[in-house]
Amino acid sequence: MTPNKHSGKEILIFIFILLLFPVRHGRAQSFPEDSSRFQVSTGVFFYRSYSQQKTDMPMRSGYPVLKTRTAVLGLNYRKINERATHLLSGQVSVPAAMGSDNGTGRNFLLQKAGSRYTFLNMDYRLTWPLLKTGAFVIRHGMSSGLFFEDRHLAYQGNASEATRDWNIYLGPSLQSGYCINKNWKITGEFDARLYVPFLNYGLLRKSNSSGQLFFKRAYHSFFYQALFRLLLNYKRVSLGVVKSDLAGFASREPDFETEGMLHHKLDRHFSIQMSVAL
Amino acid sequence: MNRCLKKYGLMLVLLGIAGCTEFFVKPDRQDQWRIRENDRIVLHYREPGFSDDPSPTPGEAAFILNNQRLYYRAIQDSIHRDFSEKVLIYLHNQDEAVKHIGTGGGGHSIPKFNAFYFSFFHAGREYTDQYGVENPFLGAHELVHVISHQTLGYPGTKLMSEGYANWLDGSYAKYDIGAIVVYYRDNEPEKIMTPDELLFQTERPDEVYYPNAGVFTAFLVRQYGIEKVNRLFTSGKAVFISDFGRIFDASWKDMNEKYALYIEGLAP
Repeated sequence: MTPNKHSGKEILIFIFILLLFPVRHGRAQSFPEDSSRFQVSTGVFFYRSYSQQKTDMPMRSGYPVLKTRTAVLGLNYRKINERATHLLSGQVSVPAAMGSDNGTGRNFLLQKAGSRYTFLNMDYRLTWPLLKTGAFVIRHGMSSGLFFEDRHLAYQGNASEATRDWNIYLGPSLQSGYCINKNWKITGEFDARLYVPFLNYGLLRKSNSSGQLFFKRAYHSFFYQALFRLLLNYKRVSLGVVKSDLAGFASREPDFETEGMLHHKLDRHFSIQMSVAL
Repeated sequence: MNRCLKKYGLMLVLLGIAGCTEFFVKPDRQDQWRIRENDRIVLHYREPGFSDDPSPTPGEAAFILNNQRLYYRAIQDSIHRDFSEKVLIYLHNQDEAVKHIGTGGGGHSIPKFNAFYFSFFHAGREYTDQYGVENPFLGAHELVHVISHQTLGYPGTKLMSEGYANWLDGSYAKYDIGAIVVYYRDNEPEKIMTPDELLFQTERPDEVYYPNAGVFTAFLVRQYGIEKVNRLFTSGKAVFISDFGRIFDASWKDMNEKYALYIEGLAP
């Protein structure tokens, strides 16, 4: 996945916005993770929703692809106890227009102005120390949360499809960190998120080219998401990239039946983010 | 201590593997296409010499494009629904189709993306479809899936989904579906499927299920009219029979008897 080249301008704008936040000059502390505190973050988010090009295992995702790029804003609170670390985080994307790519860069599917994508993610991560050798630390634990996604596809012939789903997930979490020196640290994080149909709800609506609603159904999703974060930390500032793959399908009933499938996701999320500890 | 480290190490490896979704969903960024399009169809196909198996010639690509445009209109007329979106067709050469789309002898559709994938090959058998097209490389089957899903809603059963596709295509493996069902009736009666079997025995092989589903759907349309059948398209399996009774104002049992007589009377 390659970020759009125009994202450099947006990154500069976000850095400028972050610099407006007051940064306390108290007693020097090596890393924000060493104490309980709030963090604000911002970044650029890239969304790609691929087609199911090959449906039997191993599956292949391909073109055409639905895509967008937007800004994300986040707020975290980290509470550190003697052994456990609690991290509450929220992230929201700015609603953005969507386009498509047939594989050669052409959009045959969507009207950009009428198509829209946005998401909201509330996450809770609880971790404990697993391994510590010298400057290298591994923490393990679990993450759970709510992922809300709202997508409106306005096709070029004026038909449309809107999906809106609320999904609860749960899964293991792994963090590794290496202290380069007292100011610099690099961390890698991995979350595996399982979304089971019994805990999720979505609504799909289809309208024809005259704008008449002709199909409306609730659905329940079975997804798996693998999320990787790579962060470079300097004192209170972190700069990082996040890559996430979300795959699965949604059916009418909260089970794992694919007959009567209403929705699928073969999505790749990629973001470049900066955060500042307050 | 060593056992603990081994256990944790194994856990890390397993988590790493589980984190790689590419093990079970591999991205395939195909961008080497020639494109030919008209007002409704966008045909992506391979250039000559792309793989060991032949690519469509410009004449063959034009032929496919024109046929799909014909089917596009015919499908709308048959189901009484308007559709005006562009449909994207990705035509892989036969040898590379197995790797990229999972089959070298057919294809599948992704209606939400107004797209379908198909393998290009020269069939050995001469065949003229129900629209008068001689030896079409691609039939109407996948296009029916796209248009029906996008104008009627997502089907609740395999019966309706494949029923519409086979009814409006009219063929399976370059044989007329009516002729296939007549052959089954006369020579392999265990392969004639009742409406209940079509609804619940969806794991039967495609060469049995598809022609039966197509003939049954054609019967329903002929007997009750397309608008009522369209309303049944999105009914789920659990409510299909009750919805049939409500929409068609007829009993499922009576319809079964009528269908059995219809099959008996099908001409060779």
